[in-house]
Amino acid sequence: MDPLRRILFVDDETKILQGLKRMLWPMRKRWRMYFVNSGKQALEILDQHPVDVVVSDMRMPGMDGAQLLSEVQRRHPQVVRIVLSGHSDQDLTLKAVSPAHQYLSKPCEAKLLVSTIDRACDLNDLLSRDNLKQAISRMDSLPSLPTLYADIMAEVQSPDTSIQQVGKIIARDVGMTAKVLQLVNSSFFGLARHIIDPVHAVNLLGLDTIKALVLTVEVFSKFKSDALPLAFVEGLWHHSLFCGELARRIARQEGIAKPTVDDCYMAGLLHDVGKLVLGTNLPEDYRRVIDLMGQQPLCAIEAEMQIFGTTHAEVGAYLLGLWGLPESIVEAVLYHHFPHHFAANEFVPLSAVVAADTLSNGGNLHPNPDDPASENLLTYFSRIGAADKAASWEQLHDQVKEEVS
Amino acid sequence: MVQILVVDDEAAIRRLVCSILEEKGYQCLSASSVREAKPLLEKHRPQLLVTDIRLPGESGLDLIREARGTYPDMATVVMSAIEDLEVAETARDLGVYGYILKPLNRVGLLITVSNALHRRQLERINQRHENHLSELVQERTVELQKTIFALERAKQELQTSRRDYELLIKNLPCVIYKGFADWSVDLLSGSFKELTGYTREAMRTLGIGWSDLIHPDDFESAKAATREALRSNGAFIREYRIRTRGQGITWVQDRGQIVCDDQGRIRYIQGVFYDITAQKSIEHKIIRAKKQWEATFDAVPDLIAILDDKHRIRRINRPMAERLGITPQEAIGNHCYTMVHGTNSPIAGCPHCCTLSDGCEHQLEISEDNLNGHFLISTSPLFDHDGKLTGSVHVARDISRQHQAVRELRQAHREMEQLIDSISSILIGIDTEGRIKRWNRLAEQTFGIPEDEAIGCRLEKCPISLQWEKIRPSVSACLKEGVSKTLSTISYTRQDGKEGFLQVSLNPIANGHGNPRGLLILASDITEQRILEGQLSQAQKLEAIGQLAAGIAHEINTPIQYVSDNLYFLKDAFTDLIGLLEMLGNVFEAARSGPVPAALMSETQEAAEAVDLDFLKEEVPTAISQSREGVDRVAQIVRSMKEFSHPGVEEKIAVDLNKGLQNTITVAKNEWKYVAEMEMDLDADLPPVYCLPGEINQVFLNLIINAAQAIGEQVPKGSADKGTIRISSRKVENGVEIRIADSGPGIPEEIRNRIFDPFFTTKEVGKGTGQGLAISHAVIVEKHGGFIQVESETGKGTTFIIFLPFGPAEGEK
Repeated sequence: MDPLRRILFVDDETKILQGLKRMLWPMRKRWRMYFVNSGKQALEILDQHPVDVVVSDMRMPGMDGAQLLSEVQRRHPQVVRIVLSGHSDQDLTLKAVSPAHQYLSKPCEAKLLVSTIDRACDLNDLLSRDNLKQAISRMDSLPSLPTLYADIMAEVQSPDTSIQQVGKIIARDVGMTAKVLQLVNSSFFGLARHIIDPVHAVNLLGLDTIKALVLTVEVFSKFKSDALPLAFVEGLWHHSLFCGELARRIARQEGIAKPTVDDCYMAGLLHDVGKLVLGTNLPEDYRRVIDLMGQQPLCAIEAEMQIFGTTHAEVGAYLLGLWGLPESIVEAVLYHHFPHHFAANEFVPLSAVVAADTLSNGGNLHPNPDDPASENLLTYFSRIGAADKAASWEQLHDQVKEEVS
Repeated sequence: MVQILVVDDEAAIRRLVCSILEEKGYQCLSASSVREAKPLLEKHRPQLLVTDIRLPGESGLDLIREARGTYPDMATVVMSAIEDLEVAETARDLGVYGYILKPLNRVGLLITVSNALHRRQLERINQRHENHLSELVQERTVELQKTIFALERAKQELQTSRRDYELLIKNLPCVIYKGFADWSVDLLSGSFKELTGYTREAMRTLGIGWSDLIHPDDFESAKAATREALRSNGAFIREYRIRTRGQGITWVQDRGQIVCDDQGRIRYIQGVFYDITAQKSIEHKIIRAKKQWEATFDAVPDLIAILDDKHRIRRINRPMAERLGITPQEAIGNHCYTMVHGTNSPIAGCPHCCTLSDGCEHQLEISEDNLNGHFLISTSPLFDHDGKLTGSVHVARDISRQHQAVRELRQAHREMEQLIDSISSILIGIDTEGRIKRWNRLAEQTFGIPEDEAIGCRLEKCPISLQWEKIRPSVSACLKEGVSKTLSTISYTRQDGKEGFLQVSLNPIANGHGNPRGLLILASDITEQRILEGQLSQAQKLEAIGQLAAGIAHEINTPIQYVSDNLYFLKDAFTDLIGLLEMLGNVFEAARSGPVPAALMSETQEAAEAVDLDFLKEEVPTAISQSREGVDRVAQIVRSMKEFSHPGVEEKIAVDLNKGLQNTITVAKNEWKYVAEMEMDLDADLPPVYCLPGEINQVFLNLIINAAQAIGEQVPKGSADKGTIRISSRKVENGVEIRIADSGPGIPEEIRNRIFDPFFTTKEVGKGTGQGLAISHAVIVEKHGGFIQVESETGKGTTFIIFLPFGPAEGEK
């Protein structure tokens, strides 16, 4: 296997390409780079060479960036699609929302460009199965709970709608929240990065943009629960919201800075997003996972490993990584079942998510000789210096549970 | 009773004679002597005297002699016993009728007496005849004399009369004729020539008979009249036309009498012609007038009935009959109330009843379902020759439509009043004196003066803070010339004390003769509108600039991206080169003190290779030049932006339009560069134009963006083909002409005349305010006195042509 990452840059302005080439000259040892100045040439390269990441300008004569990326999404779904555009024209941006995984604005710092591309390339290592990669890369939306989907459609079409109302609905839905966070954290709409509160995100996007996204770009979709029992889907949503809330409480109690508290909430909300991704793309297979769990004393990741050879943690992390969500959230999603594999020694969103997930699944944070997982957990909490928090966090759990019921 | 005087001296004989005679019915007187006899004669005048001749005293003969003279009508008979011839002869001579011998024979006495009386009778008759005859002769003689005299006079009169008659005949306006069965006529007299134009001689000479003169159409009726006359007393009156010599037509009345012989054959006709042309003409006129009257009677749409004093219909006109669904004849004699209202008695208060009671005209409006309408009833009395009221003319005018119209008018009036109150304009009506006649609700609200206070006031005296000096001349001009005036911006003080603007229109109200009756002043508060207009113009500017901003951002971001990349590269390169230089320095140092250690050499060699000097040699200069170029480009864009918008320039200044075009092209580059090539043909010697540069550039921008969008519509999605925008400038007479042409699809014919309309846009909702071209038009035409035109050909493209005059300052130079 070629150890080099293959990156394709597309821009109609030759000077941009030359500038990128010079700037990325030091990367030549790790990256193989292609520079072309039209969509047509880009597709030719893609047909001839395996490419990991496409970085394309938006506005180009002939085939524009959105058209190119849509074509790439169709023909080469596993390729990570990134826009690098100097435009702030909203119409143009809306066109990019579906086909692009991430959006970078010109002028883009060299560091950001390199790290974004690197992160995207690293995602490849998360999943080994190409078909799963392709399915996930092709996804341009995450399904929403049917009731919430109906709510949001009604709300954006109502003449009396308010941005607060829209924000609240989005914040209650895993799929919508993930999508909105993709849009605000990537610079699709030229916003500051790392915004994590969906209500805040919706406020920043503005009602008109949200309406356009919902009604014309169709960034939200409805979960079709043909193959999966609705109870499972609703349980998933309930669990996600519960974890999000509990993670936030825990983080707040730990005296974490406000942005990180929000990250914790979001990580809690999204930690099982992989189940949603698998359930949406491979519903039959996921049905088997559920069945398997009913037949044998297996936990979800064990059953998923049997059926898919991977887990919802990897799948979720892969999608959120593709979508450019903050690293800490992707990490929390990826490691929430195996926190001891995560190298950091301080309190991060992962910590809150692990605690919240364990507690809400009826587990506790005390040593349990029968459960090997419990040992790993304790190892992790000891490492981050939270071994003594079990009691207070359990108390928070009971509080939230009480509030919810 | 015949009286007889018997005279005899012998009483016995007297008694005998008297008894015989009285027995026969005579009345007898008796005397014994002449002396006795005479008073009896005197007294009784008897028809017969029977006397004895021998008498004491005077004899009977003496008595007879005397009596004869005195009483000639008295008959006498003598009695005597003596036959004495002499005496008899004397008696006969004395005219004695009989002679009776004594002794008396009764029969002889009676015969003698009877004869004597008879003779006396005859003699008396004879005498009377004689007397009569002589009287007659005398009378006749007198008569004859009278007759002769009369005849004399008559003769004279006749002569006079004849003259008069002849004169009369000659001058009579008629012709007297004698006609015959063969239609020949003897024209006895009269003004024949005047009547016919022919003289009698001419008739004869030309062989024209009377029948030839009769109008052929009338010939049969003339003959028929004659035949009719023959069946009765022969008299006829016929009227016909004759053709006169001058080909004229004359109506004649021919009155005649047919005279027949014993066998009943016509001998001749005696008659007279009159010229009745004039009467005929009058008659015709009368007939025509009558027909006209009848036609009129029927033609009047009003329902007319002539009613008698018993409410019976004497006549109705056709419209009324039609309305009743009958014929006019069927109505006659019926009661009007039955026919019209279906009632059995007159309706109280009916105008006809009123007219019958007071003989005056009456009017009433009624609604009659039977006739399906609303009517104005008028009745006029009818009188006979003696002035007696005989009925009325009853006219029903269907005023349903008027009634409806009046109702609608009232409704319309009410609605208008409501409208006036609800219109969103101030409405003030004033008369020619300037007094307020109308003051609607909005006027109340706007000026804070209630209607009842305003009405009647002079408008100028109203406590309204308004620019009167601007309105006053227009008001008087409007009243004088009778034409509407509009005053666009009149400032006034609003109720809240702020300044507002009114748009005022003055509309003269004329009376029916076109003379001004007053003015209607409509005023709208256009303050908000003014603000909005300002905002809209600003919005359009912002729209264009907003669109530009995105494009300009891109135009700037692009060079910044590569300048930044190049700088990043140069920094890396510099770092590498410095590292290499340091190593080379070490090598240099080492070389100075002896042979360079091989390790250092190879290390340096490796470093030099890692730096990839060949690449740097090639790329660094380009990176520097491209960076400079990028920086220049950004600077150029920024400069163009600044010049494009010309902030702070609010008055017309001399502007190089080429520069303006170039700046606009630069700032709009991102709008067109993906779809079009820009061709410029700018007149290098273009004189400056006095204009508002910011606004003119705005116009250029609008047109360039439109051009780019037009081409963009046509260039197929995903195609790399580009269209062309061609911009040219050149000096023309008195100004400059700018052409901005695109190779787009052209403006469809049907909307070409609307493109300058405000809010007209073909772009989808939300794209563009639709104000770009409208504002461009306003800028070029209204603010600069130029013009903007469009030429477009479907499939070929569109060219906007702008002409800008050099401006007022041109002349001052």
